Order: sequence, then structure tokens, then C-alpha cells
Amino acid sequence: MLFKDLLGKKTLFFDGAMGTMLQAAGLKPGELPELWNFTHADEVEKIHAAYLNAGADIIKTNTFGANRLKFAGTDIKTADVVTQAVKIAKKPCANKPGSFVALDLGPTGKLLAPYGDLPFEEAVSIYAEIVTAGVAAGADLILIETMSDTYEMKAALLAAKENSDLPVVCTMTLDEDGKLLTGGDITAAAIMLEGLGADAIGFNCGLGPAQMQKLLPQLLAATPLPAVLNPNAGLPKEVNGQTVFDVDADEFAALMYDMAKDGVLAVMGGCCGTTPAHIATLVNKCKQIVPQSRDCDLTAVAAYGSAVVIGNKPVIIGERINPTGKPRLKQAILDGDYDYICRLGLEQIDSGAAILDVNVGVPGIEEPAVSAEAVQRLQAITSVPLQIDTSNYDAMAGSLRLYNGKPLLNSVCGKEESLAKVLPLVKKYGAAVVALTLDDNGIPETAEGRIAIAEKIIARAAEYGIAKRNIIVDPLALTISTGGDNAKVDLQVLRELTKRGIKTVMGVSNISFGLPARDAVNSAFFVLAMEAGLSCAIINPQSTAMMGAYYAYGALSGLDEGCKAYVAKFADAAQPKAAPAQTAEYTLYDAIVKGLREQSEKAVKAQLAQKQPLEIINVEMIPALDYVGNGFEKHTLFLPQLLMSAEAAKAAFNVIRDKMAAEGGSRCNGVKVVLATVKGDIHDIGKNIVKVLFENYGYQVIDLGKDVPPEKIVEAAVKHNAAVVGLSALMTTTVGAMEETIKALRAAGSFKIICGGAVLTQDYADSIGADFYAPNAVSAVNYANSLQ
Amino acid sequence: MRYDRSEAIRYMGGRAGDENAGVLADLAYLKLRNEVQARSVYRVLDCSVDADGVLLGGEYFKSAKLAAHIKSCKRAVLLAATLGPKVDIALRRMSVANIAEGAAGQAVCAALIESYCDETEAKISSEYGGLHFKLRFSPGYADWSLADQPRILTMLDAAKRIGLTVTAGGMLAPVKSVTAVIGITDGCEKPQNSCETCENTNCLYRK
Repeated sequence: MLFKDLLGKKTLFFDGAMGTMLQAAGLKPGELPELWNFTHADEVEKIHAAYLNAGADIIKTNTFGANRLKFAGTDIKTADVVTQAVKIAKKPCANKPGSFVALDLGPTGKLLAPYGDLPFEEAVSIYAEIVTAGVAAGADLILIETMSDTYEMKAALLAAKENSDLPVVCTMTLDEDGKLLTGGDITAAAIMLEGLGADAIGFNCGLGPAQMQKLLPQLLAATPLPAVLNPNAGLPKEVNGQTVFDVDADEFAALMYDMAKDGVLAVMGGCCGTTPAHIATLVNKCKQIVPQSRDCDLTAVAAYGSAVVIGNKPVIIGERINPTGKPRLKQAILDGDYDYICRLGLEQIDSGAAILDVNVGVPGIEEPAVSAEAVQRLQAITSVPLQIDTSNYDAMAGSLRLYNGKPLLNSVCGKEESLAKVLPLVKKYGAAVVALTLDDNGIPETAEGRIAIAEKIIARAAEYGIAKRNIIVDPLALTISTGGDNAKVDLQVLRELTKRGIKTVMGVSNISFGLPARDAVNSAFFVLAMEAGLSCAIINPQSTAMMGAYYAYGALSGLDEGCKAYVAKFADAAQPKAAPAQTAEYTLYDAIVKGLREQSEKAVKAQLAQKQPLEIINVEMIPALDYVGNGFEKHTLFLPQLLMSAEAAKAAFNVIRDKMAAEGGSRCNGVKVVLATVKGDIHDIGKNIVKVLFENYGYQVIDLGKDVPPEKIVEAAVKHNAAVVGLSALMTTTVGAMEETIKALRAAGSFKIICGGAVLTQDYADSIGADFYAPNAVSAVNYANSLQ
Repeated sequence: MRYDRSEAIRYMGGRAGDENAGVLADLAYLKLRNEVQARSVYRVLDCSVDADGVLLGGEYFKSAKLAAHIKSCKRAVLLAATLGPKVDIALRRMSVANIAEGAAGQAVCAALIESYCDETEAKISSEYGGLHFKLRFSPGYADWSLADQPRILTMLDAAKRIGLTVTAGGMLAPVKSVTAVIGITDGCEKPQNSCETCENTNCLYRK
């Protein structure tokens, strides 16, 4: 019998702790347990045999930390360790029919970029190496365990699926509140793992059975997959500097039985602190339980935070990250100004968006690269789920792959090409997908026609193994200005699909295209659509009329219990803000000097009615910035005020840039500055401050971010023909990378190079060949100004 | 965890009593306090010193300044503490939206991680029935190389226990984290100034 044949049919038992047993056998703290596969192979085999004798069906190989990062700087080869570990585990299993060897994959011990410095594809490759060796050595299944980061889990699971046909069990480690380290909840992690093709999902380590019992219902509700539990023998306690676990075998088995008795657990075992005695008692107590299968009708998407459930109450998808008809965003995409894209995202979240649509389709760009970068930049700052919106299949594939969580893809349609290209991606990356009700014959005029396309897409998706609950149908709003029945047809489709249990989504505002006062039509149609069952609305969450309709509908329909959300939105918004009431109107100059952001926006809007942008910039804004910069250099004012002024100026410039972009102009002075925090360094606040100041003075900044290798900095400097390159490093260990970068830049062209950072000095900057040492942000900008 | 407003203002580069900076710090604190997932792990280890460094729990760390700092100690605490990855994500978010708020957030978190370390020290002391400590001493400070971070994290199994990792450049990730050696004394020593062993006399933050 294969593991897959038994999974979910008969209760299966994992072994218990390996580390605990190795320590008892003499493993020292800090020693790599995986090396015992060579030095103490008999001890490792003895532990496996003890667990098999105790009744375990599945043995975890001693490979938890076996990855090339751990062995860096030694002669040890990961593949050798894995091969040897599988060999040791298979030996005692050969004497016990029906037992299985699980290739054990633990965390890499690194944080993945953009949260740390390990690139996602590097993590995939690290796991692929282990999987490949484990498969060749004859493992029966793969266990991805003790994971507390969704992104690392995704890397491991992708590697497992791409390099083997073995069944994969994934268990995550949670805190007592049921959260992963990055704040992800159980639902978010479970739907991602299920989508990516895990065969069973559960928890291990971190908690004991009693704590896991409280969290188990969330897992059972999130996925129909078989559930797995490998708890510790209680919560760890520190006694005389030693970590101990104090739930004994009888208590452990009793707690597990209490959870499992109704058949909700398919696989059980133990983690830290559990011994063969724990497993023996557990097997005796629970082996008669027959696992039960479960249904699950949950539609949800997630990033690495809380999952967003679709189908309970309408979900707002923010539509503003889409360059169609938005010259400023189009320009930002062309310039690689991802901060602007991020700000559009944050504003929409603040206004009530639960999901952000991300469309960066501008002619002339490398859309796959730009889309992937936008997704990563947004995911670096928010855990709100994204809707990847593109018609470019390469962009789809790349962005879905890099996305941290279970994505929403926009879109597939009934055309043959779309079905054939998009559905395999949806399956592989475990997305939920928007299904447009159009096909090779166009958009059907009737509700029946559109519903037929929806059913066709659902049927085709099922052939790929994509569940109906992951298809979210868009009835396609067409403007009522060209067809009087258009709204009626949409509402009919929504009602019928809702009746059939199919989730829906719609770009609501298309309904009023070509009409005046579109908000009036849009908000009325939005209410009708919600009443007809619309699950998700793609709208501008910064539209007062639309959000008013949304919250009012919630209150009227009873979905917003006690009108709580409605009151929170509108009563709280009317509260006076923390800032003191402004009694006088400030000039733009004063507003910037005093660091008043809202006043500064207000003042610049008033001035734009009468004056040319350049006049405003040169007569009021630059002098204000100069005044503050001089004060900072002379120590008459300090960093907090400098930053507040910079922020006030930035707000005013944003108003000006919106206007100039709409008129097809730019306020940029044409001088390009490349900024980066050098390789190895992940501190970027200093660089970010410098960036804001440069932008305020009209420079076009190409911000390469943090931990940037020299070759990438050189490439950008050459490509953009930068006049100035600014390098930042915070720590002594990374100024070496700064020197290396300067050498590479000198070899590639003639750039003025500015260096800065906490540990840098004038002498040091001179010794590594910088043109200028900037002790602070103001001096960096002054130097660049002096070159012009 | 205690929010030390005046420390936050100092880290931000403001003057003592700078009310604008204080308000900025307060607003940043309100945005950050629910993002904090503070965790720590520690071991109490035997230690001995020579002129160049310290032998701690069987591992040798080269730093003459650290050796001088804890020469009277027979035991020391090896500590790792972090505010967690959500704080880093929130700080990036704040910097994108508003650089002044981002800088204030950085300063607030610097103050918070120090408070958390202080509180963790107090907890360790009471767990052991009352210990007296030297000031914390961390890699990257004075002559102690950041290159020792990976060994410290391995000794504490910090990646698995509290999710604290180190980058290729020796930086801690999450960023708002601390590793430190804390010498255990017999309690007879004078209180120290945390900046006195440091050679960076031009430091903005020198007390």
C-alpha cells in the first residue's frame, strides 16, 4: 500500500521528536544533528526503530536542518546528508510492512526577501536540492514542517511539487493566538497550501495538544484536506536554563484522543519533548479511530496576513492601480517609481479596500518584470491580498509564482486560448480566478448566454482539478448609455449565479461609461448588484458615493451587525483630528517650513489656480526647502522638523505632478540620481530620507532599494545615464561592499558618487574613492545642486 | 512593553523636549504597538576571558573590549530578542507613506527593543532568584565583529525559537532585534554609562 492510499482512510501515526532523542543520546547544543547521520548512524537508526516499535507508521528522516546554507563553508554536501539519512530511515522500515519514510524539510533558518535577504527562487532551489536527493534515495513522502512563514512554505512546497510526484504533508508552527510569525492566520496558510497541491495540512511544534485543540477548528473549516497534528509534549518551560516539556505519555494520548475521537485527524504524532513512550500510548489509544472526510465550500484569498473570505459580505477590491486613463500612474510605471504605486495601494486600504487590483500594463514596458516587481514591492509593505490583473501570460506566471499567499488572478475568459493558457497557471499556483463571461464570439447579450460561459469555464477548470469555489464569475457590466437592458442583464446573471452557489465579481463603474455624474449611477447600481448577490466589487474605494453606498447597504441588509462598520466609518470620521485646529491660512512657504502637510496641499492647490507650476516651485517651495536645509546644517533646527518639512513639500509636489502629468509635462529637472543601500545591508531609512529630499529638488530618483549587489547598481547607473549615484551602508561589515561598488562604477562610466551611512567618515569615504561624503541628507542634495 | 518617549525623541535626532518630535513619535507608536510580536530566547552560560576575547559556553568570541567589560564575571547571559517581522513591514509602509512618520517609527522601535531587553533582563533575574547584570554588550559594538552573529543565533537556536535570522552581511532580520552578552556580577559594581567603552566619540547618540 502507498501512503496516499491510506491517507484519510485509516489513522496514521508519525514518530515523535528526533532532536529530543538525539540530545538524550549525547548531541551537544549548537552541534548540527544532521551530521550524526555520518558520525552516529547507529544511534539515529535506533531512534527510528524505537518509534516503529512504538507503533509509528511514518518515520521522519534526520534532515530537518539539512540545507546548503547550514553547510556553507564546509565540505559537507547536502545531497550526501539527505541520501544517508533516507538510507538510515529505510533500514528499520524494511522490517515493518506498511511503514513509510518521510523526507523531512525544515525551515532554511533565513528570512526570505523582501522581509530578509534570501531571494524566493534561491529558497526554491535550496529545497529542490533536498527533494531531488530524497526522491532518488527512495523516500515515500515529503514532510514540510515547523514552518512559521507562508513564503518559505510556498518555496518548499513548489520545490516538492516541481521535483517529485510524492505526496506532501505540510505542518506549520503557530503561536497560541493561532498566528504565524508574519501575522498570517490559519485560514490564509491553509488555503495557500491546499492551492499549491499539499496532500495533508496541519500543525507541529510550538504548542502542546491542549493549545492546538483550540486552533484546530479553524483548520478544519479552511480546507477539506486531511488534518495532521504533531504537537510538542506541552509548552516549553525553562528549568535551570534547560528547556523541558512536561506533558507525559498518558496525558498526551488522552488529549490527542479527545481531539481525534470524531475522526477529524488523519495523521497524528509528536514533536519536541515526545518520546517513543508518547507515541506508543498515542497509537494504543487512537488506532481504532477512522478518519472522516469533510466538505468545504470556502472561497478565500490571502497574502501573508489574514485571509479575505469571499461570499459572506461584499468585498471591496481597490481598482486604482491600473494605468488606463491615469497619466500620473502611467508615468510612474515608466519611471519605475514603485513608491507611487505603493502609496496608491495604501490609500485604498485606508479607505476600505480588502483586496488591491494590480495592473501595470503600459505599452513599451517589460510587463512580466514590472508586474513581479510591483507585486513584491506591495507585499513588502502590506499583507492585504492582491488581485494580479494582466492579459500577459508571462506576467501572470511570474507574478503568481512570486506572490506570497493565495492570489486572486484577473482573469480567464471563455476563449479557447485563455482557457488553455490561464487554467494551468491557476492550478499550479493555487489561485482563485476571475472568470469573464465572454468567449470567442464576444459578450452574449442575454443572461443565459453569459451563465452558459460561466458554466463552461467552471467545467473546464474542473478538468484541471480546480474547484468551482475558486472560480469567481464576472457578469461584465456594459454601459447603459448604449444598451438599456445592460444593467438588468447583469443583475439577472448575479441572481442566478448566487442561486447556484457561484461567487461573483464586477467592475461596477463600467455601467455608467459615457454618462455625466457617473457616481450617481454607479452607486445606485452598486446597491442593486449587492442585493442581487455580488460577492466582490472592483471599485475606487476613495469614491465617497461608492463607499457610502457600500456601508449603507451593509447596515440596511443586516450584514453589518448593529451598524458597527457604518458608525465606525462615518461617526469616527467626523471626529476632530489630533492636530490643533488651524486658525489661519498658511502661505505655501510657511506651510513647508512649519512641516504642515495638509496646509501645504491646500496652499498649492490655491496657487495653481493662478500661477504656473514652475513659478510656484521656484518662488515658494525651493526657498522654503533651502531655509529648512540651511537651518538643519547650522543646527538651528533638527531632523524631525527637516523631515516634516520634506513631507509637506512632497505633498505639495504631488499635487503639482498630478497636474503636470495630466497636461503631459514633468517637473523633473532632467538630472537622474541612482540610490541604493549596498549589498548585505538591509537598513534603508537613511537612503529613503535622501530620496525624498532629492525628489523635492526635482531630481528623478531611481531607487534600487536595499541589499543591492554592485552589478545591479552599475547596470542602473549606465542604463539611466545617471549623473549622481548615492550609496548607503549602515554597518562596518557592509562598507566593503560600498568600496566594491565604487570600483565597479568607476570602471563602467563617469558618475559622481556620494557615500553616506552611520559608520562612515570623511577619511573612510576618501579612502574608498567616493567623490563626496555626505554626513546627512541635506549635504547630499547640496552637493548635487553644486554640480548643476 | 514600556514606550520611552524621550528616548524615541533622542533616537529621532530631536532635542530633549521637542514637542513636534514627541507628537510624531506618539503617532508612530500608536501605529506600531499592535505590530509588535516581541520574543526572546536566552541561555545562562559559563564564561572566562583572556586579553583578546571571551570563552562563552564553549565558543570563543574575539573582542578585547567585551573581555574587559565582563572580566569579573564567571557566568553570562547570552540573549537574543526581536520585535518580530510585522514591525519591519509596518516601518516600510510608514516610510513609503510619510518619511517623517517612517523615521519616527524607526526611533520608536529602537526605544521599544531596548525597553524589551530591559524587561527581559529583569525577568531572567527574577527567574534565577535575583541576579545582578553588567550592561548589555552586542556584536557590532566597539571591537566585536558582526561576523559573530550567526554563531550566536546558532547557540540559541534563535531562527527556530523566535524567528530571528541573520543576513549574509551579518545583519539581524527582522531588523528591530538585538543579540547581547550580559555579564552576571556579584552586585557590588558601580552603575555604568553605556557609551563609555565606545570609541565613536562623534556619535550622534553619545550620552
